[in-house]
Amino acid sequence: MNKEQMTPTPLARAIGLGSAKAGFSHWWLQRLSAVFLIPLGLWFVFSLAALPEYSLSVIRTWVGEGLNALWLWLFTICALIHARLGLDVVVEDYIHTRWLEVSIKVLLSLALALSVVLVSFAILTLARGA
Amino acid sequence: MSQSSRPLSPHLQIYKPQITSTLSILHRLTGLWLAVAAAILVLWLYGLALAPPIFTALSRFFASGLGQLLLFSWILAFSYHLCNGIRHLFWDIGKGFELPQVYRSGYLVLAAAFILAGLIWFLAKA
Repeated sequence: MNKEQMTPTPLARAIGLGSAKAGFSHWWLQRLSAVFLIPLGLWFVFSLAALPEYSLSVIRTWVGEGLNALWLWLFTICALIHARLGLDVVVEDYIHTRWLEVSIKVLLSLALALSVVLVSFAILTLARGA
Repeated sequence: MSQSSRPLSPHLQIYKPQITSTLSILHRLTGLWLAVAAAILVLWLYGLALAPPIFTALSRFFASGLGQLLLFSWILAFSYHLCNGIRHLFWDIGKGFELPQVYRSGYLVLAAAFILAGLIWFLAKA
C-alpha cells in the first residue's frame, strides 16, 4: 500500500504544512506597519504640535510644503491598516457568534477601503494645491 | 466558536490586577481608542481638502473643553501605545522576557509615555 492510498488522520494531514490560512501575513503586516508607524507617527504628532495655529489655511500650507503630503499619506495608510489588523484580533477574541464576527469584519473591510480611497483623494487634492 | 457545556477557566475578575496584565489590557484599550482617532483623522483630512464646513465643525469641537480632553486622551493613548509597542517589538525578537526585565520595561514604558505625552501637549500649547 503506497502513501496516497492511506487515509491520513487530521493531524497527519496538518503536520509539516505550516500554519493554516493567513495567520502569518496578518502577524507580519501588523509588525511591519508598527515599525513604520514609529517614525511616521512621531513625525505627524510633532509636526502638528509645532504649527503656530490650526486654521484651514495654515494646515493646508503645511501639507503643501516639501514631501509632507507623501509622509502624511504614508502615515494615514499605515495607521488605518494597523488599526484594521488590531481590530481584527479584538473581534476574533471577543465575538464568539460566528455570523456577527464575520459581519463586523466585512464592515471593517468596507470602512478600511472607503477610508483609503477618501484619504488618498483628499491628500492628492491638497498636494496639488487646492 | 461553538457553545459547549465544558468547564470554563476562571474569569478575569478572579485574578489580582498586576502591572503585567494591566499594561497588556491597556495596550489593547489604547489601540481601540486610537482606531476611533484614525476614523476622525480620515474625516478631518476629508474636511481639510474637500469640505471646509466639516473642518470648521471639527475645529470648533476640539477647541471646546470636552474636545481638548479627548485630544489629550488621544495623545496619551498614542504615547503609551507607541512606547509599549516598542516593548512588544523587543519581545517579538525574543528579548526582555525575564520577569525582572518585564517589570522594569513596564515601568519604563509608563514613565516614557507620560513624558512623551507631556512633551507633545506642551509643544502644541506653546
